[in-house]
Amino acid sequence: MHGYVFQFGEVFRELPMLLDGALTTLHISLLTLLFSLVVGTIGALCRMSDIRWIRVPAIWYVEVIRNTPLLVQLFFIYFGFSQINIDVSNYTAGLVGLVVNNGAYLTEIVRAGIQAIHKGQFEAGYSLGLSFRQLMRYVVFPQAFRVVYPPLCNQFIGIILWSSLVSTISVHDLALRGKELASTTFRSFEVYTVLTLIYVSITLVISGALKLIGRQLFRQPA
Amino acid sequence: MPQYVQDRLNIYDAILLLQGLGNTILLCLAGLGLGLVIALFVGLARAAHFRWLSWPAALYIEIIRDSPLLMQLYLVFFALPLLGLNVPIFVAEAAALMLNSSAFMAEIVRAGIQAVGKDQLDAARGLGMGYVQTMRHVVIPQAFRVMIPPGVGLLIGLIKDSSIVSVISYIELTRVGQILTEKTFLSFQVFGIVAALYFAMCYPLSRLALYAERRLKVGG
Repeated sequence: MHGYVFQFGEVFRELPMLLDGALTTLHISLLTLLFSLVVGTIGALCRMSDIRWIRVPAIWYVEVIRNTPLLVQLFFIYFGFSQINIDVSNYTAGLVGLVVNNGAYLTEIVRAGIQAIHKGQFEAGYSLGLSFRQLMRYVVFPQAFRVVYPPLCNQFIGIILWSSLVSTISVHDLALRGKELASTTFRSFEVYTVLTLIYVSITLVISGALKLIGRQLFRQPA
Repeated sequence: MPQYVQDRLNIYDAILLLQGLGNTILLCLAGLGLGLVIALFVGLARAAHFRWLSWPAALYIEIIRDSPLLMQLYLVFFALPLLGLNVPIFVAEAAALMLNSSAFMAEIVRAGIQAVGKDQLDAARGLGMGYVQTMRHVVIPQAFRVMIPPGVGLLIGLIKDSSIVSVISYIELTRVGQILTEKTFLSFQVFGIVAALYFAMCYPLSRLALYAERRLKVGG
């Protein structure tokens, strides 16, 4: 270790600043989840449409997004916005990037959820005279949600972790606060150790909470 | 390509892009190869019945899977000099990717091992094989089959994740994209090309993973 003295004091002194960054991380992650759930639901319905010119673009949206890096998508959107003179904040650009990215993953998750529902349910719904909208709203989505919930939770954890990439386009989230702290205190190793631990605790707490909520939501009726 | 794009992007930029592409591939291969070795041991430890083997392995896997790759990258990058290792950036980055991918791969290895039926283990024991022999001749060859589709998926993830290395200024594909954007201000075109190159690497692999999944489906 060449006589390196670990000094966590300076890092802990700035803990409130880091936690403020963690709030931004949670904020952007939650908004990403909500918006990409909307994108994913629309995407899944398009993806399963019988109409070719609705289905094919949805398929390519999913394929292109899933086969290119999030970082490149973020740069494409962030620098692209400024190239065509659209003035948006870094936060908005980051949010749009995360939503576009996770929308594709959620499209596949929601599609799997809808396809897991037995064909008889659709037939029963139609024979009761439900419209497509009613069928989705009262029959399909409530049941699909049960199937979608566990992968959705995993995706949310993924969103929290990958949202650290928006620090590269200067969104003041946990990762960027840490980077700034590292460059002012020169305690990079200590800062990133603490940061990693904060991320691990956030994900552990949230995944634990989501598991409990899931157990409450989907209790088998007695 | 329109004239104004041709004026600002020239053949040297194309060469730079190809160099970046080459470095990305090298980085991924290094990360994958080394990660595979570690993952095999961690996965075996995770699937082991001794607590003092399986718990540390589980902790390793959990910490890596529950923290962002960006943090792991910075940690490795700043920790290696503290350990007295002055290594080139490439080695530090490959090490970080290796750590990250090994945790995910270890879970694939564990799932593969646990997918092998218990009767196979009993049969091997009945034939008088020891643990190492059972693993080597019976379990791992069969587990390998199950591991291929998720393994290819992981490789796709690795190629995409390697883009993050650009934040430490290693000249790979994404970093080249940043450099060219700073030079030409053609962000859409440059990152469009960069994205297309990543897509060209990942899309065939994702088709391969689908094909392998159908082809290698274990009965049952």
